[in-house]
Amino acid sequence: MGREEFLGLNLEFEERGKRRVYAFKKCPLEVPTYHYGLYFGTLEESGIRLSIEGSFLVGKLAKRNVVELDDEMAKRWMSGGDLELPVRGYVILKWRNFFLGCGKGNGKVVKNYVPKERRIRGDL
Amino acid sequence: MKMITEGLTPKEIKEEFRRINPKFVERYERIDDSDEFYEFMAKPLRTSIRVNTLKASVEEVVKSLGERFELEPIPWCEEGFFVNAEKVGGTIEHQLGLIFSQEASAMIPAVALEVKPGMIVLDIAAAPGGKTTQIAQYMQNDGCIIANDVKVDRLNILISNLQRCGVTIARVTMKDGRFFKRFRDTFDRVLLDAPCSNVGMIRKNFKYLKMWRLREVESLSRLQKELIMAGYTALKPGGILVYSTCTLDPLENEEVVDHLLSNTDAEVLEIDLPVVRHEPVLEFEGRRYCEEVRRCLRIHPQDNDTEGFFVAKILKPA
Repeated sequence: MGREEFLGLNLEFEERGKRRVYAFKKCPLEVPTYHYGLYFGTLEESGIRLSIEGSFLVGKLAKRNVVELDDEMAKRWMSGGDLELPVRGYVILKWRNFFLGCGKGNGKVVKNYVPKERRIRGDL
Repeated sequence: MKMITEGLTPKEIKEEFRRINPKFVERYERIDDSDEFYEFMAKPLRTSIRVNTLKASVEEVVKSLGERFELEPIPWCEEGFFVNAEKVGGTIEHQLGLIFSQEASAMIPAVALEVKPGMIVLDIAAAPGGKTTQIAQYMQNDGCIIANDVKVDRLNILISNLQRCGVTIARVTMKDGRFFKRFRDTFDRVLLDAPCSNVGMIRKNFKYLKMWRLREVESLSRLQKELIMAGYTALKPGGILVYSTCTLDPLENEEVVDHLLSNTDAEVLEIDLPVVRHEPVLEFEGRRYCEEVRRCLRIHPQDNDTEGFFVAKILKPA
């Protein structure tokens, strides 16, 4: 994907296996690297589905497609549940000043993509 | 591994330690044989967290956590707090990467390193990533961190923590730390949180008491000396290297710093933080260490009710 001034984030982006996009800052040092980059999101037919970290990078700058959640909805979302909301397409979920990743709405329900290892068990 | 020490006097705790590992008690009688030492070694560690300012401000996260927990600021780290909870790993703040569960004394090395945005930093033994993510937040995700560890299974935990904390400036490498001596005069800062005998972690899990062996301490000391020499070689003139361990044996601490001072032009800097400390050891087993070793930070568990810890801040003269 190469360098993009995507929303002025000043990051490099690179697409790797399974259409996953990684974001990173360049390092001037040549080292034999095992891993680099932050998993930013996955490319899908109709756009990019942001990871939780991708939503933190983009969310603060996003002017639209941000849905604010109350405590109860945030709890359901972070427990892995879908949300009944009349939105279409990709949306960033926001709770207080924090971003909870990205979901895809079909007009009735926003489908949950929070990975199992990032879900909460029980109360907030 | 748990040990029932509740209601025991320090003398009884010491005998319980002796029953589990007599050689350990024999050794530590020469390092700290006080009642307070054994009293605190048997006491569970306080839970502590660090706010990840790459994702939110300290105020926002304190407000959010403060609705459910009591928080007490950690005097030596602006972003650190003791929390009145056994675990914070399942909270939404943790899962979102707003906080990092980190032992309070383990926050000192990254503070002492004095990093700035744009620097090139080497973290020689980075996993699981507590100090690496702390360094990244002080650098405001600007610059480059070479986050190295030698063990592949530990690298995966490191990568997962870098992700959760939103770090974009890390290059993860899997090398023996001694590899980096070939990068002569390259890094603005070097952190060597060295592999050690983990005596500080006995408060977390008594398996570390059972596992402790003097032979291991001696072998670790040799490795630590090689690692600190490699880290110092890779440091730019004018740069700072921080050496730390979570153990209290002079062989793994003062002696390693003494080795560096005796073989290079390194200088030890004072660590000016509000931390209660013990006097560093200047003589042990007939060996006399350089006077400069006095500037190192030696923390015993009873000093601040934390893990035992050791930190040295080293300057490579320009």
